[in-house]
Amino acid sequence: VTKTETGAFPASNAKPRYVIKGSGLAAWSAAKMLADALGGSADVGIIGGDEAPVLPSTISHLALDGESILTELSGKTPLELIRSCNGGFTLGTCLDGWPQSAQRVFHAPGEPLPISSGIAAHNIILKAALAQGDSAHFQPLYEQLRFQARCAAGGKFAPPAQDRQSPRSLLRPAMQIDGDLFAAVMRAAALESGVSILPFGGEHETGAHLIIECDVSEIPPADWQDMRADFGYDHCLSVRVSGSHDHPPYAMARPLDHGLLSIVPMQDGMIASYCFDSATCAPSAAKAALLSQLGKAEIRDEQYQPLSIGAVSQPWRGNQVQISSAAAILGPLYNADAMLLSMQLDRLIRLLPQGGHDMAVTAAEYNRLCAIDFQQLSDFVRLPFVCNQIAVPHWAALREMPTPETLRRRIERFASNGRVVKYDGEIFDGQIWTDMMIALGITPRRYDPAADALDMQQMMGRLGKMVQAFDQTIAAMPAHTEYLDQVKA
Amino acid sequence: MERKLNSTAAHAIKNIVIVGGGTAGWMTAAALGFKLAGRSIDITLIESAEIGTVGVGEATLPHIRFFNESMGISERELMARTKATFKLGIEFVNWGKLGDAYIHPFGDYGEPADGLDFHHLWTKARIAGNSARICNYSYPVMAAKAQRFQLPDPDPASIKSTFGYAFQFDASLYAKFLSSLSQERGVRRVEGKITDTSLDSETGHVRSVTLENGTQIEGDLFIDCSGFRGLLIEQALATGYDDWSQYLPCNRAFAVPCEIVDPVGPYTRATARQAGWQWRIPLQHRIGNGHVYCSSYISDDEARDTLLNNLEGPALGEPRQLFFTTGRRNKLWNKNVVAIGLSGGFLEPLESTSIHLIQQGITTLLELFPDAENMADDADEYNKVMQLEFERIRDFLVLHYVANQRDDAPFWRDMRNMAWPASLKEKFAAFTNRGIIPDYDIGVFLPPSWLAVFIGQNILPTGYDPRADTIDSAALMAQMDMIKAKVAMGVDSTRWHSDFVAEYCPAGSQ
Repeated sequence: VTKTETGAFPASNAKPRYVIKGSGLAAWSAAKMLADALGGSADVGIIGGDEAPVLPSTISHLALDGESILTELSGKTPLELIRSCNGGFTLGTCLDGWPQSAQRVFHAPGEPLPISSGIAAHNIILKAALAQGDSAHFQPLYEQLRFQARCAAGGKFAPPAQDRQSPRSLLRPAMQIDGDLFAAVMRAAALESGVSILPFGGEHETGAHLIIECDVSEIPPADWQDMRADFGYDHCLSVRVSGSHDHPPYAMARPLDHGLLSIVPMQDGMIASYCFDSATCAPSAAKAALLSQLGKAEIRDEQYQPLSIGAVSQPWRGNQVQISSAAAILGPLYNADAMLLSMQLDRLIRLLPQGGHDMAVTAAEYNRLCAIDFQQLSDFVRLPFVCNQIAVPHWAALREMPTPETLRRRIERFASNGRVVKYDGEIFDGQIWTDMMIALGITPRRYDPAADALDMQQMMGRLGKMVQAFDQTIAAMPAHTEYLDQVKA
Repeated sequence: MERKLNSTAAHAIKNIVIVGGGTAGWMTAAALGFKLAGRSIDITLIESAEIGTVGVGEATLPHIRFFNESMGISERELMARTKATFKLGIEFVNWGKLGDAYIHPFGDYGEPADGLDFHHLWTKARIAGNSARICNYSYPVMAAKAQRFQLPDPDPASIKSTFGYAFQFDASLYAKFLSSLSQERGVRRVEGKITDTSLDSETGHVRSVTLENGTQIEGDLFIDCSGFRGLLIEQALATGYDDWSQYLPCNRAFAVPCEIVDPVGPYTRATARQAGWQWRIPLQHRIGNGHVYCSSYISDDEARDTLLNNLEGPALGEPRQLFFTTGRRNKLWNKNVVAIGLSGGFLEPLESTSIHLIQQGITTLLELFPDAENMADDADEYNKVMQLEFERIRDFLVLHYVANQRDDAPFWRDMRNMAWPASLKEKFAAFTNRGIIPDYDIGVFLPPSWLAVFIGQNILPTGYDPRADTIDSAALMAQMDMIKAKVAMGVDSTRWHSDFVAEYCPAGSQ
């Protein structure tokens, strides 16, 4: 990264000034977004953009789809990003060792399954399982209909098909790329859009219309809602692993004795991290545990950092807005911190305050929406923690933690009648919640009564044909590594 | 987390009893009869010819179409049988100031540009001197004003695809239509007046109802569609009522139909009067009229005269008086009784939500359809969902009253100065300051509806999304002129509403 320092805003200081404080992906993304959105009507500057943050970014890698605001801001196509950011495609996350050891489930958010007669497929399958008198059939039968999860499990990849008749039209892949390399892409794009790099210690913040803080501070703010106990970790050790490896189309999360291991494949190796509970596991033990999972691989860029899972209650106060790790941290599972950043940027750009107007109104709306986003995402990330059946004290204790009311209601309602409770501002569609709850072992006690009017022989025949089409399609798809080699060439 | 499955058959509901006919009763019977056809459930509806129905909910929201379609009902047949007209929105007259008029359409305004919602562009243009009203950029508004109608164009690029539609129909004919349909599909109708209700001594659930002739009808689940009196939900279970008169104080109405004198347009009208408002709902064969008022500000005689003096044609009968208290039951599902329709709550029909709330109650009940035992959790969930639905509609209705600038009558001054629900206060400030429109997933009124009422009642944003300033002013004006012209041309090439109705669904043709 070449350091370019203009040292000041452009001379015309009549325009409103937007100051971004921070480094890395979040800061450069916010700067690029504002510069693009406001064009020549405002000056955008960044303080500390090229400096090392006090604590490393929690976004060492990220999964982006083509429509993400971050993809759009980078000005690159997905293929360009994969080539320049050491990436590949991803179909989701493999929870390896969930809900209990020797089992694995996939979070693979594809397109919703086609619905027959207005009745979701899991109701029909549940009815069929009950007719056989054995609820144990339900989950395996349903898993056969999870096309994207099955592609991921098979290590297969192909782009989504436009033809709605093709099972591949159900795919919703994303790019899995290196966070540091992507930050460099964003930095270049921001500078090209006219973002100024400002020195520390100047008076740039004085009179700024809006100040955006992006980096977590060593001491969390007073209104930080501490959720470390809910997730069972408070520190993270991350490393990069060099060497040629198989490149599966998914990230992996595996429960260890004192926390969660994440492995994200990259073209030249992988990024691995172990989020652990420092009260029960010393850093040296954490490192030993992490290395034991990586075999004899060569590691580099070792980073050890506290991980303050949680969020501030009021990220926007006065004319200061906190985003990224300054506002909320959920850790590596499901790429949650990058998702939070995308959502914060999206909220911020839609609520930019106008000069001369009361900013408290936009701040209140931003804070309200961010609280909803955080609740939604943290509930989804918490789901496997709450539903784990892992026979290890650390995980047994996480099962016993109080479940937030919003998540508790979702689980109980689904377990009762197979319906997904809907809240305002849903991030995930009902299909995604359904897939994960079933995968984690929640079998509804009842099914949609309208399913009783269906001709079950016909319906099961139809679902059987769908499974057959899935089998054939998956068999014909190339391995992700093979596909990636083709598109990289 | 493998959960033990209950034996569905062992605890399944076998008998559903619907108490009360009318729109709520027969909509419930039709939907339950159709959706639960695969289960061995006996559905019985009890109604008495001696007990009249309110039946004033003649204007609907577009959601009713999905309700009917989901039961396989042909739209043309339904409209012909209920003497229906189309509805593109509601016209509000005299609500902001005397002489004001605006239409709340079932559709969008303008087109977004560069990721910006249209109202930000319109606000910027307005502040820069563009005097065109926002309604000029809405196809459904302009079509309604011009008395034109056609079905939406399936091509999403067409300006004629930017709207939804509902019906204005005779609610008693709708109930009659659904009654025959339900009975054809196996619902049992019992004529009789309920004189007694028997409760289970242990659970407190309703076990049976007894008719005047001594017949006892048992049920696992009871749907109370008995209207305001709440025969089961209140008289038997003493559920209690959350009174919202402090926000919506109108408590009485007179209703009377009148003859049609001129061709009618595809919209309902709500005209603000001295201490309330008057509805006008044009059907194919008559116009439904009513005057909703607050008895603290106007006498019954004055209210009645106001209605009769403001009819378009000769009255077709004597005005009928209605009494109500706005609000809802503390629980809309209590024990094994679900209150649907007026027995569950009442919100004045200013935005045609009465039938919608019935529909929502039925849909939610089907989504949560319980077993005969342990239905408390389903009831809790139902109450959460429906309470939010009621409250969000309430806030939207209150907006019409508080956002007035009328100084001609004490009622309107008091409404403006009353204590607002806190949730509405925040929405109001967000809109006036920066054009932020309430946007939620749960609730019937979407952002264009809020926009229509805010702007229609002269609540204009003083700010807008600053990204609009990056758009060249001349280019913006050209873009807006282009949309306005597209709307006008679209309306010009749309058929007359009366011609369309006469061809598509003439009364008595089915």
